[in-house]
Formats: sequence, C-alpha cells, structure tokens
Amino acid sequence: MTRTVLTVDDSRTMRDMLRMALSGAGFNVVEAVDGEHGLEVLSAHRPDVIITDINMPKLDGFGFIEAVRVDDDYRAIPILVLTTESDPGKKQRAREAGATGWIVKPFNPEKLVEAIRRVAA
Amino acid sequence: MDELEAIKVTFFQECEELLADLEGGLLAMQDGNDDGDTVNAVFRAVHSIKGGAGAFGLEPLVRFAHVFETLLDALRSNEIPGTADLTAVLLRASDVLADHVSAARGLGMVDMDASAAMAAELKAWTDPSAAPIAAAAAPAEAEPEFEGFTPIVIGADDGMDDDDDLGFDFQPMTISLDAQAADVAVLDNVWTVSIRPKSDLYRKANETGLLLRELARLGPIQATLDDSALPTLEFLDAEAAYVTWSVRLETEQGEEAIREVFEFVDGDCELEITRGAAPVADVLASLMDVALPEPATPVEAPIAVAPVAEAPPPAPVAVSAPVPATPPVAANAPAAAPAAKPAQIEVPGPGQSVIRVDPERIDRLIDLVGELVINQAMLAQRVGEYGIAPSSNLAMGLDELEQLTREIQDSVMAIRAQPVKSVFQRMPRLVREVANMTGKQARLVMDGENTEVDKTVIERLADPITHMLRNAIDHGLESPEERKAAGKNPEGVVRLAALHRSGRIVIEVQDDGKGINRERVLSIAVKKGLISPDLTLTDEEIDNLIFLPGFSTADKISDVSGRGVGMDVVKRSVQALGGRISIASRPGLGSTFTLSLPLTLAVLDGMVVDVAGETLVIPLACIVESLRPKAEEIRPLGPTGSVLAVRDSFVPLIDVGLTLNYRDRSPPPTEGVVLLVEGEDGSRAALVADAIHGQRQVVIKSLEQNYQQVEGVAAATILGDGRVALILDVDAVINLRRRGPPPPADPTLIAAE
Amino acid sequence: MTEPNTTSSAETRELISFRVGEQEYCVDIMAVREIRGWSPATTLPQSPAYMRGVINLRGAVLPIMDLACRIGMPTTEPSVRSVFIVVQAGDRTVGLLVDAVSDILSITDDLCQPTPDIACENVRHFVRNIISLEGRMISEISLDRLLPEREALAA
Repeated sequence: MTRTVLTVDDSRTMRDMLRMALSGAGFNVVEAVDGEHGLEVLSAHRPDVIITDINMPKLDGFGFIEAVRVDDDYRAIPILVLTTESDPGKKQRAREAGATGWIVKPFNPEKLVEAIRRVAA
Repeated sequence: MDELEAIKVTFFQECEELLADLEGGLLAMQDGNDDGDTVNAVFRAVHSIKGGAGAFGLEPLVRFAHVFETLLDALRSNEIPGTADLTAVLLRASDVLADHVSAARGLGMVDMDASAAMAAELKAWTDPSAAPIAAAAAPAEAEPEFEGFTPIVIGADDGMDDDDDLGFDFQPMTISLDAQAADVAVLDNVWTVSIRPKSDLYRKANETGLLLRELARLGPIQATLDDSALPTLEFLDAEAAYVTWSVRLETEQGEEAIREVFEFVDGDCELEITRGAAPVADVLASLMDVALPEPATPVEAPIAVAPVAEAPPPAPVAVSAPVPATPPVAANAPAAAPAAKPAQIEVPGPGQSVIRVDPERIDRLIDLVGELVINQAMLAQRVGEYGIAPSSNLAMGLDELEQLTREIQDSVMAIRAQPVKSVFQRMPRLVREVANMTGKQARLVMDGENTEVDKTVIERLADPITHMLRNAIDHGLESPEERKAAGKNPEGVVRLAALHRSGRIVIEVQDDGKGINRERVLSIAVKKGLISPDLTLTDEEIDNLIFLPGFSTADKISDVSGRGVGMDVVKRSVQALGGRISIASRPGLGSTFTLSLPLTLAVLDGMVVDVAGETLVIPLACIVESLRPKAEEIRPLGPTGSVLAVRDSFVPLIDVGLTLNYRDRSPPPTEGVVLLVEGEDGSRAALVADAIHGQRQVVIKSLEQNYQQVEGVAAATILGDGRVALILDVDAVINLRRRGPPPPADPTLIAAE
Repeated sequence: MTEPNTTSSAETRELISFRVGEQEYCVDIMAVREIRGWSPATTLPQSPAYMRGVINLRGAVLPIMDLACRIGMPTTEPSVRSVFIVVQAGDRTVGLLVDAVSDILSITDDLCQPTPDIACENVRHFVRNIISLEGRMISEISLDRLLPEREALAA
C-alpha cells in the first residue's frame, strides 16, 4: 500500500524538496501551504504521516499540530516537525503541541525517510 | 535539468518573492504598520530563505540569514522594541541579503566586508555587548536533551558507533531463540532495554510497537510486557500508560544507536538501557514473539485503551485490555520503501490550485494563436473575395469563428499576464541607493502594483522605470537643505504608479521636487542646436525637449543619471515597444513622467492603409480621427510644407509615402485620406495615406529578430493575404518629417560594419 | 557561426552553389535552411538598396537580401527563375536573392584558395575564399558578414 504523506510548508522550495525525497521513496505526497490549508487537505486525503513546518502564515505549525491532536479522527496520525531551529525551546514547544518527532533542516532524503519509517505504523 | 536543479531554480524564484515580501514588510513597518503579522511575515521571509539556502548548502547566505533572522526573532517576540532606526538597519540588511541571494545564484558578488559589518551591526542590536568577533553565525547543533532520566552508560563505544544510519536489513523475530542460545557466550552485544511509556508518548502519536520494531532493526529482540502496574479498571486512566516493556536486544550496534530509537519519545517514557541480560530474564517465558495482526488503521493502535474506559465492560479482567492495543512487535517489513510509484503531487484546496507551466509552452501557444488569428483573417478575406452574402451560413460561421478566435486569443493572453509587482518591487532598493548616492532624501510610494500586463511588456518595463526614477531623484528632487529652504519636507516623495487606461498600461513617476527649469532647458536646447532659437514653444513642448537626442541638463554627468543613457534613448526604447513617454512639470511642485505601453507586445489594434502601393498598419491608439480633407482646409506653408486646418488649429500634413521614401512626390492630399494622429508629446500631425482598408487586430512580428530596427517602422505583421505589412511608428514618422526629407540612401548601414 | 566543424583539410564539405549574374558563388550547405521560389517582398523603408524587403516565411518575418547588390554588383531583377536561399547567419535567418541554384559541391579544403587581393573591398569582405573546381571558379560567401550589425536606431 502506498502511504500518503502530507507536507505543510509555506516555502515552495521546501515542499519541492520534500516531494522529491518522498516520491523518490515511493510515498504519495499531498501538499499544503500553511496550517489552515493543511487542515483542509487533511480531511480530504487522510494522510498516514504529516510533515509540517513551524513558521507559517495563517496557522503556524504549533497551532496546526494542536488542531490535529484535538480531533479524534486525526490525533493518532504521526506528525514530524521540520525545524531549522537548533533552538530546543521550539522543538519542545512542538512536542508539547503533540509532535511525534522532528526533522532538522537541512535534511537529507535518507534521514527523512528514516524518520517517517520510525513513526509510521 | 535534474530535479534538484529544478528545485534550485524554484528556490531562487521563491527568494525573489520572499525578498520582495521582506522589503514590502519592512517598508510597511517604516510607515508605522508594524503589527504582529507584518513582523512575522518579515521573519518568515528571512527564515524561509535560510531554510532553502541550507538545503542547497549555500553557506554565506545561510550565515547571514541566520544573523538577520535572530534579530527579527527578537523583534517579533518583543525582546527588542521596533524603532525607525532599527527598521532602517533592517532595510539595509535586506539589501545585503538580496546581494547574498544574487551571489548564490552566480549573479554578482557580495561585498564580504560590508556583509560582515552588517552582520555585526545586526548582532549588536540583540546583544549590545557582542564583540564584533562574535561567531554567532554558525547554528549550534541541536542535540536532543535526555532530560528526566539518568542514562546508565556501560562501556562507552563512541568511536565505532557514529553511524546512525539504520538502513540495514531487518532481522525477523524468528531467530530470537537462536540468538538467545548464543548470548551465553557473547554477552557483550546483548542489551536490556526497559521502556515505561508515559501517556504523553501516545498523545503524540508515538507507539511502543513502533519503538520495538525499530529496536528489532538493530538485532533480534525479545520483548516482555510487565503489566503489574496496571490498575484495576476503576482507577484506570484511559490516556495513561501503565505497562513496562523489557526488551532483550542483541546487536552489534552501540548504545547510541539504541538511544536514537527513542529520540522522539525522549521524556515521554522512562528508558533504561543496560548492557547484558537483565535480571528479568526469567520472565522470558512470557516472551512476546507473536506478531499480532496489524491494526486496521494506525488510529486505533495507541489509544485503544480509550474505548475500554469510555464503556467499561463488565468483564472482570481489565488486565488484558491494553495488550491488544499494542501493535505487532515486528514481523512486517520496514515501511520506508513501498514499491516505488510516481508520486502524485497535489496542492488541493479551494481557490488554491496552481499549475506551473514552462513559459516557453505559453509563448508557443501564443504564437500559434497568432497564426490562428492570421489564418482566420485570411479565410475571411478569401471568402469576402468570392462575394458571399453576409447573411449566408458560411459568412455567419466565419463571424463566429472570428469571435471564438478573439476569445481564445484574449484567454491565452490572460495566461501570460502578470502583475507589474515583479518590476516594482525592485525599485525601493534603487531609490534608496540613488538617494544615498545623490545625498537626497527620498521616499518611494507605489501604487497599482497588481496591475496586470503581458509578460513580454513586464520584462521591458524595468529599464524605463529605472531611468525615470533615477531622473526623478537626481534631477527632480532638491537636496534636503534646498527643500527645507523652500518650506518643504526635507524628504522628497517619489510616486510610482501603474494603471490601465484605454487598453494600455500607464506608468507614472511623479516627484515633488523643483520641476523643470524651462528657461535652462530652452537655452541648452538652443545652445546645442537642437532647436532653432526663434521657435516659440509651449511649456509642455519645452518640458519634452529633455527627450531630444543629445540633451542632458545635468551640469556634470552625475554618477546616477549619466550611466551612458539619456532620456532620448529611453524614449526610443519605449517607442520601439509601441509606447509613449512624456513629462509634465510644474515649477516648484515637481514633475510627472508618464509612460504608456500596449498591454501586450503580441497583438495590436491597427488601421490598415495603402501608401504608394504598400500596405501599412497604423496603431489605432495613435489615431485621433480619420478624414477626407477638403481643398480649402489645406494651406501651403513654406516652400514644400503644408498644413491642414482642423477646427481651430493647423496641423502639419505628412505624406507617409514621401517620408518613408516610398515615393518622391506627394500626390495632392485631397486625393487621399488623412489620419489625424497624436504623438507621445501630444503633438499632432495629419498623416496622408492613399486609402484606408479598415481596422484590424494584427499579430506583431519582430523585424529585429532576423534583421534590425528600421526607422519609421515599429514592427511588422502578416496580413490576411499572407504578406508582410509594416506597422508604422507614428512618432518616428513625425520626427523624420521634422528633420526634413531623408537622404536618398542610408550609407551608415554599410559604414557601420 | 556557420563554420562547419572541419578538423582536417582532407575532410570534405558540402556547398550549395548558385549563380549571381554571370558569376558562381556558394555557401556551406549546413547553413542553408531551404530554397524557395521568388515571391514579392514588402519593401522596407529607410533601408539600404540591397535589402529587398521582408516576406512571410511560415509566420516569421524574413528579410530578403539581394546578394548581387550586397556585394556591389547591379541589383537583381527578379524573374520566375529567381530563388532565394534561406540561410542561417549568426542568430538571424535571412533569404538571399540569387539568379539560380546550380548544384551541390563536395569539396576538400585543398581546393580553396584565399581571395585574391585585387578585389574591391566588398568582395574581400564578403568572400571567404575561392574554390577552383573543374575549371570553374566559385566564391564562398562569408555569411556572418552579410547582415549589418544590429544597431539600435541611432539618435
């Protein structure tokens, strides 16, 4: 079964990078440009894993994760946060919001796939 | 182009947009609109540039962006107050960032000293004590902190286990018994991992089962469940976790590899890793080597306890409840690489769908539609030649075809239309730089950035706008002192606006400077022999003398305006595009440049006329009216000239055939048709043609592509009969006439080689 | 440019030869896009006499140059036998009006001789070299020099 990954990032470059890495590994990729959009796409595509950026317009990564986690339908979907922050505070906040794991940017494709494998059932 | 290169192209495109957002946000802040959203957007712009740059290993860009970002982060979290001074620094930093982006792209160089100085300046804002040598640029590596438990490290083996790549083959559980037999001899590679998940682990969608699966990738495992802590049902917290897993792991990997498995659940479970077999080994009887069926959806797995609590079953054995909730220990292959299949890319969502298309494909489509228009015209012409009645089915079908063709053309042109924003957003920086260079204070106000125009036109807008802005600041605005003395704000305002007006795009550059010194302009023009001294000119005509070839009002060629091009060249290039440029000035109040261009360079509405056996197209936009002159309206003036009396004014009559050297003598104007046209500068002329064929939209074809510009000709087109017709450059024709009859041949073309 | 990739003088090149007045000229076949019969051209104003005008070549505007006139001979009077050879000259495509196409020649570089010094400047400028073949003298045209440099309209 092809797994679907939802990537939520306001940067086209980052979405493209994710798509390249993920589709190369055989994932089906759906994309969203911010948290709000992510929630819409979520209901339409029911992804197996979510990868989200933190800094985004409209609804940021923290808000997005929280919104996913309070929804009984989605709260068990693993969420990986993308972060350039070396800042442990931000990572901690994402975890408190309910992030399953994280990927430090810049990522390499192997690491990314590895992180997904770790959290995806 | 490989995929990564393509993404890099995207990255630089995105950088352009982000830099524009950054600048736009900073300018808004400068204007006092520093709400949280703006500051956040500004932060995000720099953050995204840094993120992408990191992905491509663009180190200098990453380093500078990092310093910039750090300051913006402090600003948005209100650690430091936003001030006008800070915004000014941020604006300059955005210019440096733009330079870094350009350099990363291979366009130009970064002044590294200036960049370092700017970085130091940025750092000083967040940390006033920061010495210039502060090496804050390199982000510290983010290592997860294992807070909340004390790792028991036995046998450090750092040297051999840096490799955290878990890409080795999965080892199925079935060999665990063999492994168990072996471990008596080799205990060094046996680990006991004790995992006691907290409820938070499940809340974050982590799963013990997956952790066990990950461990199994390191080597054969035996997992034992200790559920002794499980409370009776009445005390059971649905979301809490009560079990402890004890895992015996046999692996050649070191402790770090094991720890890495738990990276994401750090703090969400109690973890103990010990080398050697654990004392709980005697519980191996309850060895869990059964691969439980995989839950239908991952959703159920980690929180399967919940339904038990919500609807407490009467069953007395609560103990068994969490166990099925535990996903399979292993058994299924790694999830990472299902059969490769082209991934679907979607950006769904209402109003969000975007297709990216190679511009060349659109250009090709536009060319084809151009051919279609020509073909349709040819067909109509041929049908017309057969004298088919307009009411016939054929003629009506052709009308519909024409209608459809037009619609297709409009729709296709709309695809290529873009807001002028992409050009406008380069201008604030230009204004800052020119103002700095000339010692003026200038504020740029922009209007109508979203005005759309064909991409072909957009690309040609940048140069004239750049020149008009330079001119406005350099020649238009006074120095701050002069302005103060004149009772003006020392900061001059330059307004750049775009708007649509009667099927054209109009760009206005307005300054509130001193206006044109007409006396001086006039005397220079006379001194340079550009005009005759006894000529009486209106104010407008004097203003527009600055477009005359060879005119330069600056006393000395300044650094800014004197970059090799005068306004005459700007005017020429604008005219070459079928555009017009003019200036209007009010002494003491400022000047306004007005540039108007067709919305597209692909098609043009024109009047088809006959001149000396040639078919010409005159742009409709220039034509005021067409008329058949009566003999009494034509008055000779001077030896060869004549003028046409149009209502109250006299307009010079220009025989197009003569001006373009199609013929040596003009036929009497009364035998032809007169097209009253208006040039860029508002001057009028009466063009004489032999006959009018009517209006037509024509597809513009470049003469330059295979030849070169021809004076008096704006471009070419292909008419319904398949022949090439030239599109008249009305201004050039007026100017040609003003200069007197052209020399019979043009020897410069050969001499120029 | 239109130079063929000759690596040694022994390599053969193919040329298309044609007649201009009573003389024979040729161009490298690699530069020739097509050969078309004469059709009337739209006159270009303000242009040198050798520019016969422009025609529609499948939607592109193609300038037609009177080769005879360009190299300083009397202008060609187009007849039904006149053709124009569509050639690539640099980044431009141009049609050369000639009296008739003769044939395709295969030559080696040892048949080429430098343009004799007698010739007028035009000839030296536009003729790359002279080919002597079976008693014929054929002048090879320097295509890259035929069209004037593109000039922005001088102010």
